[in-house]
Amino acid sequence: MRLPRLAQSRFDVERAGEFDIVVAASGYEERAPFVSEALHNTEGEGLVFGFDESNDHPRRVHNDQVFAALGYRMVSCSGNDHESTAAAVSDAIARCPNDPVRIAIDITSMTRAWYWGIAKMLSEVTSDISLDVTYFYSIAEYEAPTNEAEPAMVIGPIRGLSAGLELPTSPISLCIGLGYDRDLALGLLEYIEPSETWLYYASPATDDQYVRDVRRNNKQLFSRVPAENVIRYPVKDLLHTYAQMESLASLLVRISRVILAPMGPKPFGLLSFFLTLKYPEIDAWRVSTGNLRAQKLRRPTGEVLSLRAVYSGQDTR
Amino acid sequence: MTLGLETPFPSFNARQLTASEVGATFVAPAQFRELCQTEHTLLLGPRGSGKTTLLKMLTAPALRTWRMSPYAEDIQPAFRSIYVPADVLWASQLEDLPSDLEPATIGRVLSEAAVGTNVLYAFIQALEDSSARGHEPSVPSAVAADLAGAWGLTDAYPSYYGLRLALRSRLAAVRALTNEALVQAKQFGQAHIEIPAFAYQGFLDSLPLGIEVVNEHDGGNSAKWALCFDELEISPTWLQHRLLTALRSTDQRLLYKLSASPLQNPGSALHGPVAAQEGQDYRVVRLWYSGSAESREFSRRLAGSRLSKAWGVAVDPRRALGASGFTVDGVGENSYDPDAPFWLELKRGAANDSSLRRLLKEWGVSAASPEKVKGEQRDQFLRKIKPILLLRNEFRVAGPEYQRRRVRTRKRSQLYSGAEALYAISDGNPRWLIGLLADMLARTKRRGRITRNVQSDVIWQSSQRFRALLGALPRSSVNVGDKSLALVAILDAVGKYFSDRMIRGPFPLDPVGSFIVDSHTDMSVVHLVELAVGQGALVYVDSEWRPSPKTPRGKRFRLSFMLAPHYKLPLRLYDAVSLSECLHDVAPGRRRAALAKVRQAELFPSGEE
Repeated sequence: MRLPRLAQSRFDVERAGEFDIVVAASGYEERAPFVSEALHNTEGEGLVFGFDESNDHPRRVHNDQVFAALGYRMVSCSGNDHESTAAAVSDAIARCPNDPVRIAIDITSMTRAWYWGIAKMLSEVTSDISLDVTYFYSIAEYEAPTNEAEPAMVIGPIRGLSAGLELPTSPISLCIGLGYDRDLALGLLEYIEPSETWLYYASPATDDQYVRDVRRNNKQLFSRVPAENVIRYPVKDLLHTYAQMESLASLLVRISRVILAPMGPKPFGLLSFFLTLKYPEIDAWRVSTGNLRAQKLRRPTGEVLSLRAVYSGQDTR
Repeated sequence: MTLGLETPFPSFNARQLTASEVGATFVAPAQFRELCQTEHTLLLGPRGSGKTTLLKMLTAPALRTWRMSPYAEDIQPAFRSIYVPADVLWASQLEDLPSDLEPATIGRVLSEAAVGTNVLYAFIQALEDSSARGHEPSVPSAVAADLAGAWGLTDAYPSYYGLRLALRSRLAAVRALTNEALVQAKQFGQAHIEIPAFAYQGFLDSLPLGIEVVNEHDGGNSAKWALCFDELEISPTWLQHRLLTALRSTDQRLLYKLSASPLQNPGSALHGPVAAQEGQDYRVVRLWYSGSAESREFSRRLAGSRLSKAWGVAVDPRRALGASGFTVDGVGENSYDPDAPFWLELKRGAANDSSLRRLLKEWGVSAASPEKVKGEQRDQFLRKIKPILLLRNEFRVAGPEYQRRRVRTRKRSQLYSGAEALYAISDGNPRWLIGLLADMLARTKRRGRITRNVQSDVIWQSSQRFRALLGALPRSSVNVGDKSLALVAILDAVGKYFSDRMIRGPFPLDPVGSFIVDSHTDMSVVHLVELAVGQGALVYVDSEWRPSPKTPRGKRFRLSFMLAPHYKLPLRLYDAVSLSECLHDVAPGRRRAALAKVRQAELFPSGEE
């Protein structure tokens, strides 16, 4: 098991470099190819995962054409299939003669199963080569949430990606990364009935209205959690956020069984999974409304967050 | 539902309390005595109904603290108990042990090993709890040494603490084996791990062995032990089957106390010629109530204990909360005072409601001259119409006839206040009752009385919150055809159906207020009904519970009284209609339009419109 050394990086610096492998996802979101187009990586291998689901959406068709023009190889799989995506990246690493291997992973349009599966695989690469990975996330223009509460249809750990197995004798601490979907997190709280609940929400976020939506659509939840258990994180400062999360998690694992449920912006989901790699007793849960959610087009603002994760060639655990 | 968490009061979920804490405030419902009988028991109840509390109350530390509390009763189980906890996280982790590995037996063996470890760990905790020196890590004991030998924990330090450590290591080994198996399966398509012997020793073998050791050390007695399994419905299927099959066990030393939700589907374990039989092999203890009367006494004692604790003096909840808003004096008991509240309500209702006037005429009752009303039958009639009369007076808009069919949007109705109303609304669910009272107390400064405004405010908000929670429950929506149907849409349709007929339509002498899941009900809706029953949003009202291998079809339900303020319904059980009838409004497209016409005609028969 190799744990990455994390560092915040800047997109303008990263895009000037070359990558051996670029990994992205194509879906119906307008922003899906934005990072790949901006990187314009001419040397390395391009890999794009396409959802089996919604593959006839006009925007999806367009995005597929963009990736094809960039020379990316399309791998079609289900949004839940983390094994295929991890295997495809693993094969690309095996083909690459360089050390370290420079990899760009654009998580913008990926499901949690995909980018968690890839992150797990990267930490389990058994060869001695070093991996220099940069994760990218393209920020989207604000879109209002739906007014109606929609229940979670997918809830729980992703099979094969969680390593926790703890006797149910100690209490449960639930750490939720809040999104702006109405009462989605409240349902999770009811389902798990934790002893302690901690709420994280992005503030400042990428849009002030988003912060207001989060507070409004989780009103009942906020009223049930003590104010000292509510933590705001600056969404663009990934390292600071990770440090905040780790400091709490390292305390909670000593006294409880911990569930991390990232429901907000994807970078928080990525950081959550990194935490579970460091603390395997923590379970990361996926909570989603599944197919019920209205499809949002998600136009890119042009701003991209990037996080560098360097895996040295030795076992770091 | 977890009500009242925004208040400074501690948690009311027994899972988060130690057994001693549970015992300190325990008020025994009638079912506790049944549970203490020396026989296998299936304890059934919705969420919050007190299943975990009751199972924890069978343990030594809970009984110890209860005996010192003012609410103790002369109930003493004739067995020692092992409380085996479970929760959704544990269930999800067991589910994550791969069942699809090759060879197929590996996942199952690992799952059984994990569950067995949990059971043995719980057994050790039970021994520690009943032993004065049990929690001292360094104290070796001959019992611990023999248990270690019996369970193959040969490296364990011979103390209870040592055994617990060894069992934790065993669980870690199960996880490590799982990971190894997964890696091998990925690489070679099949796992070739060496499974240690302990993984093959099921808890139904190792636990009796442990009991034998302990009983032998206790002087060779034949003490009975109860294995108390919580939350059976979230356990792996193989475990459910094994435990339900074990209800036929004739091992004199081991009893099973299993808790599950009301519609726990026992699969084939409780069916067929060799299955355990209710009455012969096990007892069913129900923790829900068809109507409000059955739980009233328990609720009264529980409310009394909570109020007394909060105010530091003995409190009669009826004095603190007042009478139910649905109680008005002046009917029955030969009371025919024309100025009595009931007759004033009747006059008010009759003045605004032609259908009520017709009904009164049919029964020969004059609202203006109550002294002329005689006869037992007419008293019965008046008592029968009282809740609907009060409901209509409260919620029907006054004014011209066409306006009167509108429903007021009034929210904080004082109909839903008073002691009996509070008991009914909490539906015998201790977690709800404790939560409601905690919220009321948090808003009450003066000791000794909780105002009706505070009561109705808290009750209204709780009703709203409960409905909101049901809308947010995971997997509470299903696809019917190409549309999604949410549980709250079903509850709303049922609530509206009853409310419309009780308030908007002609005055009903025999209102409908419950439903039967009929054969036309879509299977996906049936699943939502099951979910709602588990959450306490729907209450199963058939008089007897029978283990059913199929579905809730053919069974009768009512909405929880917790939802009554939201839907503007009385706190009583009324006659049933079919669920399909209630769901007309959520039926797809054309059918809905056609049915809307039928409903219109039904609500406003000619002459009323």
